[in-house]
Amino acid sequence: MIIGLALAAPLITSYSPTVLNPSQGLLAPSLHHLLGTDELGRDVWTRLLYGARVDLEIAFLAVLASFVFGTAVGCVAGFFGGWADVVAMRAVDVILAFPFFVLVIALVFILGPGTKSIYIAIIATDWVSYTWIIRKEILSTKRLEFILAASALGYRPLRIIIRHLIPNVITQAIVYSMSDIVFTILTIVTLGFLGLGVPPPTPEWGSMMSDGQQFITSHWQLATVPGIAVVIIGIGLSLFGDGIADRLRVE
Amino acid sequence: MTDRVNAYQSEVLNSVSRRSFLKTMAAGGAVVGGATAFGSLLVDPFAGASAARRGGDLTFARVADPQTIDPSAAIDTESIWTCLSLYECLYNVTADGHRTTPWLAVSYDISQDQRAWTFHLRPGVKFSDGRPLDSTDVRFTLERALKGPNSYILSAVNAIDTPNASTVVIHTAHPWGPLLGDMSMYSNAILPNNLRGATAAQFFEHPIGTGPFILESWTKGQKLQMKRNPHYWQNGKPYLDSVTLLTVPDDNTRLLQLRGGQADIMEGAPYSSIAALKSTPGIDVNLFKSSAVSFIAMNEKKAHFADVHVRRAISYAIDRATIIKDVLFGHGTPAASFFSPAWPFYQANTPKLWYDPAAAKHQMAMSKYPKGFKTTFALASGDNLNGTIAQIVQSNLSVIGIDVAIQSYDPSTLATLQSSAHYDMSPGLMTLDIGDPDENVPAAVAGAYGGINSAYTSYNSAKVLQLTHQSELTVATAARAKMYARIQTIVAQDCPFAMLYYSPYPYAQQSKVHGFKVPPTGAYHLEDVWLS
Repeated sequence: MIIGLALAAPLITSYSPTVLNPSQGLLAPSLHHLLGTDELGRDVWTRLLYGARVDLEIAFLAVLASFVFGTAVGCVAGFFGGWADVVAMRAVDVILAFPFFVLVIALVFILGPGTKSIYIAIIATDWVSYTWIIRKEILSTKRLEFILAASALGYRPLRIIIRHLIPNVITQAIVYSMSDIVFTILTIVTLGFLGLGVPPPTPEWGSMMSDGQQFITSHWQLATVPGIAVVIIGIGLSLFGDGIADRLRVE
Repeated sequence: MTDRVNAYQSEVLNSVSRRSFLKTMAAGGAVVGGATAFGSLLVDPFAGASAARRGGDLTFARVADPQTIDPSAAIDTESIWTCLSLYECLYNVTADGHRTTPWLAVSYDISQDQRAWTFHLRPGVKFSDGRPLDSTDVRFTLERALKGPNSYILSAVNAIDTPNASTVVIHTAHPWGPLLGDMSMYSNAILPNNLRGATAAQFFEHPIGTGPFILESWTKGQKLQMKRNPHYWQNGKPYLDSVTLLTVPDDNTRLLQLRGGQADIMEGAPYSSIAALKSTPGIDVNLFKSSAVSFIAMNEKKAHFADVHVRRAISYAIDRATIIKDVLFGHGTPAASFFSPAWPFYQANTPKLWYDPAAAKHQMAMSKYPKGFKTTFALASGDNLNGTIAQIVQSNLSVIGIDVAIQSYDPSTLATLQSSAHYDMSPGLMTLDIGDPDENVPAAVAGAYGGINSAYTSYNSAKVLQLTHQSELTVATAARAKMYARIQTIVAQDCPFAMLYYSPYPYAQQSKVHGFKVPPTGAYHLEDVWLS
């Protein structure tokens, strides 16, 4: 539902998420402004919706890219083994050796703030999980008879991987990607809260919480509402992920 | 000069350079201004503390921990303000910040050639170990300060003589107008001769000074406790038995501590909470006039900002009224001069390049970039105050075709970008610690002479540089006032900074706290504080 609201944001609200309206600063919630306005007179409900767009878009695209890249590397490493496997797995080990957040924050610092840096930092650290999962699955699957049969028939490796291996090993990665999206949203919100996220004035839940923190004693909704939104979307996507896992397992 | 860039919970931009320009300061300083009736020799220039009650313990929640309690090494405001409760200077700043007043010295004479200043020490002053203050202590202190990070303040000093125990003669290479102000500089606070034979590390474990309080314990990052100096020279002071300085970086936590009674005074009261605090029974809010000046520095190493018309257009385009309303909740005044009204020699009729969209467009049309350009605004990550300002400025400048991208950096990266001139626009804050603007003027506007290329803007004006030198070499106050007025006018027209506002020091306290006043320098006199 949140995704729907986020996509429909321009239809639901008539305010702009970025245009300042200084004379309307810090208004209490009312019929005109469902959740009030922030210190620069921007409608909080509007910023929440547009913020969902920003956070979800980055999370989905970054996870998708990690998924694709990680899976590709995992297939190559798992199927061919040898030096390709050694190189890929040492890279995975190096990245896994660092705490995830430390690495992401360090990368964002190095690359400078901005949306591009967030994408790069998340993808650069996130692909390893998929590689790890896929490689492990492939190592066990490739010894199964139907794969051996495909090889014996003389199919080229690319065809074997795409037609025979991936459909059989991808389930785990898809299930994992659901919880990964939740985690990635949390990462983006954390970066925003720390002031390393999407640059203002673009609405983003983390920076909305950070900005609202100074008014917590007088206008609690500014910081609390985006926090509640993160909780709702986190629980929602987790349940969705569980559902998908159940469905795939049944099949 | 201190450019203190807010250290909010987030804080701190901090680059320490020759003039300790970007000094960290938590959002607010505290301050106490007035000495109340001190010693019998002095006329009390401030309110008298008639019904002052002796005794009690004060808990004071501050934004940051002091970095050091060695006055010669201090560069951050919390260290400076802590040091000035432990040690004192020969001269001090008056409550309005405009003049100096005798403190450990009672008077001075200046020689005919204006190169020898003779200071007469206050009789009866004792250090906290009971031994009397004499001229060798002063000579030792100044010679030690000459080796410290704030030695620039003594750059004109040639030699220090001690003809007798109560007289110190300071010889300067040339006539030096700011000398009295320099004597009020925290880095020149008087320490005992030769640190009583101890090494600096040993001495500052249990420091000895003439200040109203003695260090009792310091748990770094948490709290610093001070107790009454029994040998203090001002009759009957300090009133308090002890003072505990708590380090509480988070604004909301400090606020809760004040409301819950765990803190008696809170530094850096958030502007957004002031209205609510004022209506809270038992809590008083004080907005003390400060020396703080907020501005946006524009880097003239970048072609866009080398054009004076662009800089003026930006100044004209910024809606200060909105910034003051949204960021300071109305608790500030728009700035034109880079001197605050609380600095000596402030010039009220400095040209005002204030919000005027027509003038802004006119200046853009005259510039080399009539169609506008893209640029960036660099600030520290987590700096909510400047983040809000940046968004208002972004919106204001879009009207004249300037497309601003806001970029946040961790504080040390930002400091590097500023000092290496790799930024376009960035917020700045300056405060004055002494009773003379010469602490700031060279660093702020005199180019390479001040050590930090005009507050990292690379602004250069031959006339301003010449007037800066001249004002230093002139002792007569009236003549200096004219030179500083001229400097303020030229700088306002050249517009190296888009001046924003003058803000106060926002403090909140329990109503039982009395006598807590903060002068524009921010260095409160805790000896005047008492509890009812």
